[in-house]
Amino acid sequence: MSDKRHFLNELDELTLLAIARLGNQAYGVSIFETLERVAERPTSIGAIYATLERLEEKGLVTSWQGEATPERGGRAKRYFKVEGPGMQALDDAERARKLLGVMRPAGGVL
Amino acid sequence: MRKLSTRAILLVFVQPIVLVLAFSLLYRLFQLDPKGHPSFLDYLSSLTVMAMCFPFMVWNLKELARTFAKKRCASSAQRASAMDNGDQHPPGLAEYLLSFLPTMQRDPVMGDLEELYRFKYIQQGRTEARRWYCRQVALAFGSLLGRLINRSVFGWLARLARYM
Repeated sequence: MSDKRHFLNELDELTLLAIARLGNQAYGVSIFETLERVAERPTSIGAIYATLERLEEKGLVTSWQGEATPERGGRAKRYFKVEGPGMQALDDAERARKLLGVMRPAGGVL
Repeated sequence: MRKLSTRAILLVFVQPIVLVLAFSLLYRLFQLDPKGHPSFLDYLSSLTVMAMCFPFMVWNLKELARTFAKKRCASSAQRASAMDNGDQHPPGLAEYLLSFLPTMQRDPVMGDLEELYRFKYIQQGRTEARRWYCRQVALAFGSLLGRLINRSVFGWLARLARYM
């Protein structure tokens, strides 16, 4: 595995977490709904696909084509899965947040 | 069935007329000597327009064929249900605009939006669902095409910088 570190923005991180949570059922609609309902983060399908494409280019996720269903107008789904570097990037982000959280003053303002 | 007929009329009659008009306009604009024989550049500009339009024409014809196949294969009960739900089809123009997206993202994005549109339609009604769909199409253009342009422009600049 390469030692290259990947830095995530907020939507990258939430999308990766949503994919990891959904397991084998992670495709556009389920990711969109997870972000809206669970993470309470309103977004658009276009923004999600732009994020997913960027994550795929970095090697953090992989995708494959699924089955076509009538309610989708006969179009195939595209499923996503978090790969090793993606999990590593999530761990790094979480660790950084914990470290910074420890240093946060009690009142929230310096 | 009404939706299908409208779409068929649009694809078979209106689209070729629009393309021919655009073709002739560009042909006139780029023709070097309107009284003389067409030059190589005239043919090139016309071919460029046709080449740009060709993927969209093919995609539209595929969509039409798919819709016909779906209608033909459906049993009578399914057909009745499809006719009841015929109004649940997303706005045609917004859907057509999505065909301009890069090939890799077109099918999954359109499928996801159609699936979500049906949910919205049932939950919030036709007007709200259509408004939501059009907004999503506009946002998809902003996100995906913006990214594509950024990547191609910056990729081109990076390649250029390598030789400097």
